[in-house]
Amino acid sequence: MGLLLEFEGKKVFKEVGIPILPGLVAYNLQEAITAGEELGYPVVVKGQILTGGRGKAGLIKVVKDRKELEEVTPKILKGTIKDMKVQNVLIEKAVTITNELYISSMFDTFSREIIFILSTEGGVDIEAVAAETPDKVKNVRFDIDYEFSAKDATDLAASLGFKGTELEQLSDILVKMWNAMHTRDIQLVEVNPMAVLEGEKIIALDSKVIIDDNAIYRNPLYQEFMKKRIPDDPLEDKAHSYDVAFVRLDGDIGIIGNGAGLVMGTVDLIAEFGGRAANFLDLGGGASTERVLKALSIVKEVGQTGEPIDVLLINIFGGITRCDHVAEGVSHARKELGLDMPFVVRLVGTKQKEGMEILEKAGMNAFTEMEPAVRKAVEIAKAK
Amino acid sequence: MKILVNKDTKVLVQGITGNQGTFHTKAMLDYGTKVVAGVTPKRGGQEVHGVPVYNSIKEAKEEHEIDATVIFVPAKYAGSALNEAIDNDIQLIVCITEEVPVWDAARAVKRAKEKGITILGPNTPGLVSTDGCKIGIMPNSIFEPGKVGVVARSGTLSYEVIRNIKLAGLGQTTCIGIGGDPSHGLGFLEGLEMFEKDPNTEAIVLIGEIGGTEEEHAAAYIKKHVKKPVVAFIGGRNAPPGKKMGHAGAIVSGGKGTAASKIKVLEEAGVSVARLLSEVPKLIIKRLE
Repeated sequence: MGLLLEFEGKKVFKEVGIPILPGLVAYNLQEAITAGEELGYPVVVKGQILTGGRGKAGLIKVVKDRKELEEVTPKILKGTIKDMKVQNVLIEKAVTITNELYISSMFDTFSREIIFILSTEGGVDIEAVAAETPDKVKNVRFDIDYEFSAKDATDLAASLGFKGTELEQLSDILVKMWNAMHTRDIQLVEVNPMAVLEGEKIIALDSKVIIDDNAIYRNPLYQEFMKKRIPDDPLEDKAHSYDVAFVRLDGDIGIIGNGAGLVMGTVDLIAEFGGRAANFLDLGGGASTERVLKALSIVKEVGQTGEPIDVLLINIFGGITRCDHVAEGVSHARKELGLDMPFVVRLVGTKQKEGMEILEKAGMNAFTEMEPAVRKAVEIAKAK
Repeated sequence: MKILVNKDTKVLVQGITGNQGTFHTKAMLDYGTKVVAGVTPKRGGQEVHGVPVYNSIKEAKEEHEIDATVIFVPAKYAGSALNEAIDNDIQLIVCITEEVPVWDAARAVKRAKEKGITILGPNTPGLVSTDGCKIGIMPNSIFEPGKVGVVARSGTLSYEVIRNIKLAGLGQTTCIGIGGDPSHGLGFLEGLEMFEKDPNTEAIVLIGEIGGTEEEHAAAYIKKHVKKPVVAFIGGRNAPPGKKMGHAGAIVSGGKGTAASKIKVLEEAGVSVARLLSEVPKLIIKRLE
């Protein structure tokens, strides 16, 4: 899921013309001090992190002068929520807010529509607003091919009672959101709150933008964001560079498989048999011997940086992936990577016979059935 | 009657000269699929496993009748490959390519629907009719003519189930992969509808996974329209959270999308949900008694 940081989302807003406050990004205290002086106090220091709940976690603070900024910024920069780390801070000019609204637009990939959700009650949990006062939330769908016009936007905003200059600004923002989604591979734009300032000026006070990970290649701005990101888990970043899907879990059974569904199914089955998976790793389709070796090196690092891996389970159902390529990788891995834990291999499908022969030559056996293989891996892990 | 394809379906391969295209053209031919032509720009005149290669679909269509196409091109070019197939009115398009931008897929699916064309995928393993037509990358060895129809979101997880159905002696009629991407063409509903109508299919297996709401829609459809026994498996019961679409998504879908919620609605619709993959054939046999 391609969630952007608040400041990244706001860079997108700036490019498409959705109004934001003046702000500067700082990666350390010195940069924060410079930003504070440039913007003029009071300012808001906002920790940039890829999850919600920043306010409660103390990662957003208003400061009235340099002294206060020097006090809070280092704490915010070191902040974490669950496994996530603060990446940097966004420093924005503090402003007086007269009202808070909610606006979002989502690409519903099932119905192939864009759904706008608007509410007069922003800055709070929108689900709660929808449950308690449904008349304050407007939810409208448009086919992605629809030619969404300024008139549609005005009608939508007017239906919630907006008038005058507020109505004008909101409908302009809605049209810009619609266009941004269509031209920039965006799946969700949520602004909560959309703030009304003194003088009825409307700005996006926060941003939550989800982009399509598969379309980063054609959006230079997103590529720039990803380059500057500090990975929450360097290993996930490494796996990404190897083109394998990887998630660290907290068990002792390392897993490599092909296909997200099969790996998910393997994690489920390990749990079903009373074991604990150390990771989720999907080789993807058509993995080469080299990619198998790289994947094995990732799992090796899982054990080195977390709970040791007691057994490595390799579950391959070859379709586009060839069992012989995988077997080649596995047979090289023990020597080349110095992996000395027991391996449990399951191979079936495309080039199964060839794969089995390669493993036999390397002195290894493979299962053809998934359940006995998983059971065996769980047994080995439990015996440790 | 067969679903979507049969042994006479004439198939084109887009991206036939690439590694995957070449490898799976051979496997499809081995299965008995009538692969009549391939397309790779600037490679016209070559042959791949005896199949003639053309520069464009238009050129291929001048020489051959084509009922279906299968796309193996890289993700960057998948959008234009889909459009080329739609422009040339090919009635069934199977897009194997993974990681296709969601907007490209959604736009192509919409265009295809307007023309009455069926898209399978993107990110699908394809489909197999056990009377001798495989379009895609599913392993040949797991199929056996029989009485079970399979419709699945995940590729490899479905191979597991399809193979278990064969080993149990039940066999399959047609196996359809709808694709693991959020925006895909043919879905569970259309698959269920086809199997319900197909006289050769006696039981239906649905393989879903966490995320999205398609299984929930399927459950509602089954409750209303499906009389044949349905057995399901849902992957991802122990997957870590964090894949949801944020607040706006939660509002629209009403907090659905977890494995537990999917299993619950399916069971309420009269579907037998297996906890282990190996239970699927046992449940089918039980439901057919």
